[in-house]
Amino acid sequence: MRRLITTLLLGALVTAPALALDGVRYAEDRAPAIVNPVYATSMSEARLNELVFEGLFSDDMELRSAPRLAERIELAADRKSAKVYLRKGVGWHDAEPFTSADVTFTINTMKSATTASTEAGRVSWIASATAEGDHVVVLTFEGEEYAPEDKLHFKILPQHRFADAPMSRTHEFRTRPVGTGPWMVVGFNDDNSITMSRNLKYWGEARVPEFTMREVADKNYQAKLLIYESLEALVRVLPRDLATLQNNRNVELYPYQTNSWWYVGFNLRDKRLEDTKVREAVQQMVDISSLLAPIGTGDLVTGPFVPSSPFYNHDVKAPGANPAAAAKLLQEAGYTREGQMWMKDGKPLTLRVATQQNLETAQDVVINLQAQLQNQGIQVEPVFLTVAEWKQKIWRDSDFDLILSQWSFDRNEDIYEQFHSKGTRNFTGYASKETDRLLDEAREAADPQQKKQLLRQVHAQVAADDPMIFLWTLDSYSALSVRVKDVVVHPFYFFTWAQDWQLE
Amino acid sequence: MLSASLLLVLACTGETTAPEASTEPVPATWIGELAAEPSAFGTLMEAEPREAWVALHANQLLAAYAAFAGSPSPGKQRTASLLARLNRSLDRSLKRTNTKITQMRAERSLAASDGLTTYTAMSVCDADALKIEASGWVEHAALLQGTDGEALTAALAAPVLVEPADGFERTFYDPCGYGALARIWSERAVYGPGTPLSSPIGGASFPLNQALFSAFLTSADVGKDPIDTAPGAATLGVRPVAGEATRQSAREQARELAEGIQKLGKASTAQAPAEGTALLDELRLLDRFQHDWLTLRAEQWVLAGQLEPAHAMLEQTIDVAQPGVGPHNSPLTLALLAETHLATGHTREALDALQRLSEAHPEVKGLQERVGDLAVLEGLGRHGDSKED
Repeated sequence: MRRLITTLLLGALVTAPALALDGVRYAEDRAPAIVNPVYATSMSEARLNELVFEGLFSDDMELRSAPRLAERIELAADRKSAKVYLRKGVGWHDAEPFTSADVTFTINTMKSATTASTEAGRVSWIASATAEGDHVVVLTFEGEEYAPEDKLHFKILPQHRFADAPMSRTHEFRTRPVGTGPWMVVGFNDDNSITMSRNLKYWGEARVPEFTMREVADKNYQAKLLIYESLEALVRVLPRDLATLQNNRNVELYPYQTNSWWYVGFNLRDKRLEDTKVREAVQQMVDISSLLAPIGTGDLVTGPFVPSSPFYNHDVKAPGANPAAAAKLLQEAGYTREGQMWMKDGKPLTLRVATQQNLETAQDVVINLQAQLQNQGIQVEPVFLTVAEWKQKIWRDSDFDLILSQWSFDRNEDIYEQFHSKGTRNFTGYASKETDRLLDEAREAADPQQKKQLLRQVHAQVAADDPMIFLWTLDSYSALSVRVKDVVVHPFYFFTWAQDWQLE
Repeated sequence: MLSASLLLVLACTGETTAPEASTEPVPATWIGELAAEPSAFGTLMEAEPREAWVALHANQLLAAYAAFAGSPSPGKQRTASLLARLNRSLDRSLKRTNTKITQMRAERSLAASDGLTTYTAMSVCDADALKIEASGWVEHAALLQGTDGEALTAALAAPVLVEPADGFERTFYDPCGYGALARIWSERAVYGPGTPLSSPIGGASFPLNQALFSAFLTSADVGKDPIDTAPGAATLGVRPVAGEATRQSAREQARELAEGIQKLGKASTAQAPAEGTALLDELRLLDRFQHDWLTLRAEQWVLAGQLEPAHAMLEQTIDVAQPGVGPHNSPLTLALLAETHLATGHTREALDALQRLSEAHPEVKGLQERVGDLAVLEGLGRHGDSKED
């Protein structure tokens, strides 16, 4: 049935290829839920934001901070403040001028608790932001800063668009975004695609006339759409499609390693899962390699880093599937095997496993996980959530037993928000004094060897505490039509240098 | 795979199906030679140890060097040359990393408590510096000055010094080892001063053994200076890059090469017996040639300081479906990929290539750790970003 649906959908989506390209159509597994950088939680949102919005600084191609909306920065001698001189003549997409008021508004809004920004941590080091005229902003810092421009990459938002209502997730801005970037959103289309046209008044250069984000949840035919020239770019190629695309003369692959890993997270607020023995038992019931096989090749991980990370602890060994040990652990936790089910207090051990509704690859993994656990006596109820439901139930309400998801990290691989007890992305409710201590010390460490060793200890500690089953990292490549020239892909945000791309 | 193919070919040595008549002239290449006369492959396998060729095909260079018989021998000479190129790249990467670390420490006014004094003394790599009176280093220094490449390679997988630091142990890996290995393997790659790489050994010239699995179409190409030439480019229809090479021109050159090889493959097999075609297919010899050619081209650009096109070329070179070291990913490709990442500011991405390389070459560990240090230093003061994917 799935193959039939796929074929029908493919037929509907494949259109006659254009003779000359007038834009780049790229596929995302899921469309951004919110086009507002202050609330960005997913990579698809981050990628789209990169086309539409700008920060004061951004990475140049050698990953050094280069001025973008800023012209330059002057750091005070005591390193506790700086003056940021803004680029003049920059306009918002709605033609209003960009000024220092937009910068102070963005910083203060992100810092405000009422905003509940998922990005608040990115401005927590700024004590105050004050406008001096239209094109200078004075920043004071919580501590000494050596290169504040390295932290001023967050996107700037237009103050005037929030004159009537304060910033919130539901503010109309999320579907009517206005940035200063090289492309501007011109259409949220019925098929869930988003069209962005070149900002003709952009202060810099941009060559591609139009970008269109198309939601293609089934990765099985993303590659086909690219081969049939109904797309020009896939941001992530499924590993099993890599060989096919590499051998296609009309496609080029580009490494897009975002330091991503998949995991199954436990909700440690749940009394049953608070018990380490239960978590260990579930872990030992899972054959991770079998879950990975349908996706393709990848590397199994034993902790919250990818194996190439300087913080990965190669001494931590994967526990491996061990059904007998799992059964023993459940017995020790007070469960008894009655018929096909593990029971306690007259109730079967039942776990809801949540993942995103429109991520077919993740759904396949959940179905396989369900089969593995049910075969060993744990009842599993898959829960497939829409993006809005995911943000509500997982990010805000912690309403789940297990979640299947994946995290992507930029080159800093900062896992503080995921594993510190005060972390804003700590969905599982994991709290360990030792891990907190190590993470705090690692944040302060200026000696690279010391920082590496602290975070390798975090790896070992987290692996021992089992707040998650760490699954795998996939070799991540994007694929673009050879008709898109001069492509260079940013290792995390993807589109940072899209201004240099050209069409055949 | 190679072993099975070798047996197949050995079984049919001598008798080949008669080739079809051809109207197109086929350029003389080792690929065409094998397709037309697969028995030559079997003869070569009999002339030199089969396990050596198996290891060379799998890009297991140390194993290949050990398995090739005789000293000197063409097989050892070729393998030593590959190991020398690999270690030169690793040495360049380590030196670049050390320079960047020194610069960053100065820019960030970082305290000198991070073992830099010891490391700097070690990094000088000359005879006086090698007399550092530290436990373990003196013995190791003897290896650096000697000629035992295998022992030195093994020693590089572990730190040579460990010092107690503030709550942890600070480890020092040898900063001179890759340079020493490059010297040792270079000496083994030539037999006497001034002897060119392609020089026949003891008068027993066997051209196929000089070009098989290489980036050179013919044994005559092997002796050309690879720094200035793209061997076989004209034969394969690869146009020279007009002006300064760019990422885009490198990708286009890679595509031209792929097309040229496809044509060469068709021309070679059009006249070939079935056994010859099967040999090319089973060992993916056209892919192998393409991989090694692109790697050599990228290396030429690296040595000429054209790092962006070199990097773009290397991205086209990696067999992404099997990303580790193997028949279609050479250790040199991964080393060069790491080198170009480092040179273009992509320190964290260099670690991805080094991780793959270290799975087959544990001696890379020291470079991995040092590049990791640089990645951490570059991240100090930055705010990490993470998103759900």
